[in-house]
Amino acid sequence: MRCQEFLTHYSAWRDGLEPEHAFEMEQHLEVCFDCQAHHEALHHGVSLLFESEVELSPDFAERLEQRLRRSAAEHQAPHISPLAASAMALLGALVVAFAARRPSVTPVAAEAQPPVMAQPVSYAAPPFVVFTAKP
Amino acid sequence: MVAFSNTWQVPPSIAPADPNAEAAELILAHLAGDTKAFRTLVSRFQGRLLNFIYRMIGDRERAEDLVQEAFVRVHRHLHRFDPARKFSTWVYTIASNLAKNELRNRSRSPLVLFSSLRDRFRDEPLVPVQYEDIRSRADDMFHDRDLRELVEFTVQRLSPRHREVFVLRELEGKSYEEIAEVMHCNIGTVKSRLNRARQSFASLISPSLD
Repeated sequence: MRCQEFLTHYSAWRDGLEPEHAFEMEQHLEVCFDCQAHHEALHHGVSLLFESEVELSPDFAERLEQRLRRSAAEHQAPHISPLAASAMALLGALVVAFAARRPSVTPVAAEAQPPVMAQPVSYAAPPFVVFTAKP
Repeated sequence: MVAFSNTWQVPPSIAPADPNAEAAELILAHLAGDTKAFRTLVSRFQGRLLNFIYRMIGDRERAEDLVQEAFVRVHRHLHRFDPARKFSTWVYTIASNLAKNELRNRSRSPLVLFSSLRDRFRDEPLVPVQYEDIRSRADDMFHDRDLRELVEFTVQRLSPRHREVFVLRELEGKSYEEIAEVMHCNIGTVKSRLNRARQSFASLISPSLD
C-alpha cells in the first residue's frame, strides 16, 4: 500500500469501516513514518481538543429560565396569524369595494324630483281652508 | 513500539446510555405538565451543545447565548416534535443552523468581537497558571497550554463545512447518518468531507507536535 492509498482509506479505517483494508493499513503504518506522524497528529490533536472543552457560566440555568419565561409571555399575548391577517385585509377590501359600488342619491337626481307642494283644501265649515301635502 | 489502532471511542463523559430514549421520555413528561422535565432535558444536552457551537464559531460567550436560543426554540416547538426522530439530531440541527447564521452574519460585518479577545486573554493577568501545579515545570505547562490553544486555532482554520463535520464526528461522536441529517447532505458527502477535514487538521497540526 502506498501513502496516497493509505490517506484515501484513512478516514474510513479510523471509523472502523472498510475492514477489508484494515490489515494493509496497519502494516503500512508500521513501516511508514510520514503516515505514522499523520495518524499521531490527528490522535493527539483530538485529545488536546477534549482537554480544552469549555464550561457553562454558573448563571446559565437562571438566564435560560428568564428567557423561556419571556418567550412564553410573548407567545401568550394576543397574536394574529399571517393567514388571519390576510383574511381580515381581504374582507376589509371587499367591504370598501362594495360600499364604493352602491348607488347613492346624487345632487342632480335630488334636484330632478318635483318638490312636495302643499295644496289648499276647502271645507264648508270653519276653518274653511286647510293645507295638506299633495298625494 | 507504538501500537496502532483504529479503535475510536466516544469518551464516557459524552456517551450516556441512550440519550434519545431518555429525551423522548422527558419530552412526554414535559408535555404532560412535569415542570422539571424540560430542565432535565436541557441539562443532558447543554454542555455538548455549548462545545459544538463554540468549536463552530470560536466565541464562548456568544456560543452560550446561541445554546440558550436553541433551547428557547426547542421549548417553543416541542409539541410538534416527531418522536420517531432522534432528539439529539433535531437539537444539533437547530444549533448548527444558529452557528451557520452567526458565521454568515459575521462574514457580512467582519468585526472582531471584544468578547472573543477577552476570552483569549482573560486568564493571563489574574491566574498564575504556571504555579498552580507544583509537580509540573512551568515551561511544560506553558507548552501544554500553547498546544491546546494551537489545536483550537487549527479547528478554526478549517473551512466551516470541514469544521462542522470534523467536530460532529471527532468530538461529538455522531454517526455518519446523523451528521448527514444535521448538515442536510448525503452520507457520501459526509465521508468525503470528513476525510478531507481530518487530513487538513493533521497536516496543519503536525509541524507543531514534532
